[in-house]
Formats: sequence, structure tokens, C-alpha cells
Amino acid sequence: MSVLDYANPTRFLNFARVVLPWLSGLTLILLAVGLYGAFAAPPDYQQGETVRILYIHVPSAWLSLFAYAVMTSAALGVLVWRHPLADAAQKTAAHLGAAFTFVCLVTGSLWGKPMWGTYWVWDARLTSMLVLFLLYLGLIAVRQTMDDTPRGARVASIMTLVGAIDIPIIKYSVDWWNTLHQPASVFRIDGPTISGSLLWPLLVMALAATLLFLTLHFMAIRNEILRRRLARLSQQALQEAAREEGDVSSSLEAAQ
Amino acid sequence: MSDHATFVALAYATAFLTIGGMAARILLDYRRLKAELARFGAKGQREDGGAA
Repeated sequence: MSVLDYANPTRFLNFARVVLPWLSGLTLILLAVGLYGAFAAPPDYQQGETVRILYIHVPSAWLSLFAYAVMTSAALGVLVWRHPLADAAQKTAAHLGAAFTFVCLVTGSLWGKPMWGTYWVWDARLTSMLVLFLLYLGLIAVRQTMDDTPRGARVASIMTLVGAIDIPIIKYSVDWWNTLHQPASVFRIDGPTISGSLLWPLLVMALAATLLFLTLHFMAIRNEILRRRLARLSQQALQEAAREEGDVSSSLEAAQ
Repeated sequence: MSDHATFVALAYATAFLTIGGMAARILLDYRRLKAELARFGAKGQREDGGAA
């Protein structure tokens, strides 16, 4: 069975029922190990204890970009194949992406105050992250105002694809412009610039955050499928009630 | 911990409240949806059942 075979709501529900307990368990274990590592790691020689903020700031920054990449793929699924599961995936990822971007912005500010002397600067990296957060909020607003109509899904998908231009801008902002935010220090051609004792908890936290995102996303997609099923059942029940009412009225008229 | 303990504590509290709140909302939503679907009698509407 290929991955595409799971792109069916009922199959997805079966898949989620089997996978979610394992995924949640693994996420909790990795989170516990990562948090232990984050507080057991030595303080940075320049940042001191403040470096511990980066164990949540960096994974949430990566996840905010990952969530948008998921949304972009799902948007293509909506526009090209008009697939209901892609629509549910795109819709639900926006809330998670917004949450991770919010955490990234707030924890970055809380790190910036003691390290830079300010909570915020309008440099390219920070501003492009703020734009990403606003994009997420805009997409959530579009979905809420246009309900579950196919037009709403198409508008949100086009908006997602247009907004994807912000992703490379965020990634390369520290290289293209002179920013207060430091350049990449983990994924570099010449290897990470972080000491191993600080790096391993960061990588474990990043993996835990990725699994957490997948767990929550699968759960949210499952909810979306059930919500649409419930809406359809409610509509059917209303139609049946109206038909029965009509039958009773016509019987009464015939009797008179 | 250093003078910056407040910043570290606030950062972790923000992360746990935001992501934890999101997880709680998703779980509560799931329970509500399952209860409402059960109200319909739900023949063939079980999770592993009818078409979506």
C-alpha cells in the first residue's frame, strides 16, 4: 500500500488510531530526555544560563517553518487533486504553525533582552518571522470566515502558496542582510559551530518538537474529519426531519 | 541560576502554556466530537467505519 492510499479519510482514521499512541509515547520520552539535557548541559561561556532558552526557541523556529512547508504541500494537494484530506491537513496545520511561531517570537524576545539589551529589533530575520506569524493568522481568519466551502479551501491554498515566498526569506535573511540575529550555527556546510555538550540536547529537543507537531497534527486532522462527518450527519437529520414533517402535512391534507 | 532565571522561566512557561493549551484544546475537541457523533446513534459512523 502506497502513502497515497492513506489519503482517504477513513483509512487515515485507522492509521491515526494505530500510530498516535506510539507517536505520543515517543514524543513524551524524547521531550523528557531533551528537557533533562537542556538543564543538565553546561551554561554557555558567553550567554550563561540564558542559553537554555534556545532549547525551545530554535526547535519552535524550525517547526514554524516545517508547518508552513506542510501547508504548502497540502495546498498543492487541494489545488491539483482537490483532496479532502489535503484540505484538512492544510487547515489544521495553520493553528499549529501559528502556535510554534508565537513561541519562537516570544522566547526570542525573552532571550534578546538580556543578550542584546532589547526585546525587539526590526532586523530582517525577526521581521520576516513576524510576517510568517501574520500569514498564519491571516490563513486562520480566511478559514473561519469562509467555513468549509471549496472556495474557502482554494483561497486559503492560493494564499499559502503566495506566502511561501517568506520561507526562503526567513532562512537566508541572515546571509542576505546585515542582521543582529546570528547566522545559522547548526546546519552549515562546514559543520555546526556549537559545542557537542550543547548540541545534543538541542537536536533531541528538535526531534521531540517535530514528533510533537506530527502527533498534534494527526490528532487535529482526525478532529477535522470527525467534525465534517458530524456536520454532514446533522444536515441529513435536518433533511429527514423536514421530509417527515412534509409527509405528515400531506397526509393531514389528504384526510381533510 | 543566574540573574536571567526569570527570562528562562518565562520562556519555558510561554512554550508549555501555548503548546500545552493547543494540545488540550485538540483533545477536548476530540472528546466533544466523539460524544456528539455517539448521539447520532452512529451506525457505520464509528471511526473505523463509514465513509468520511
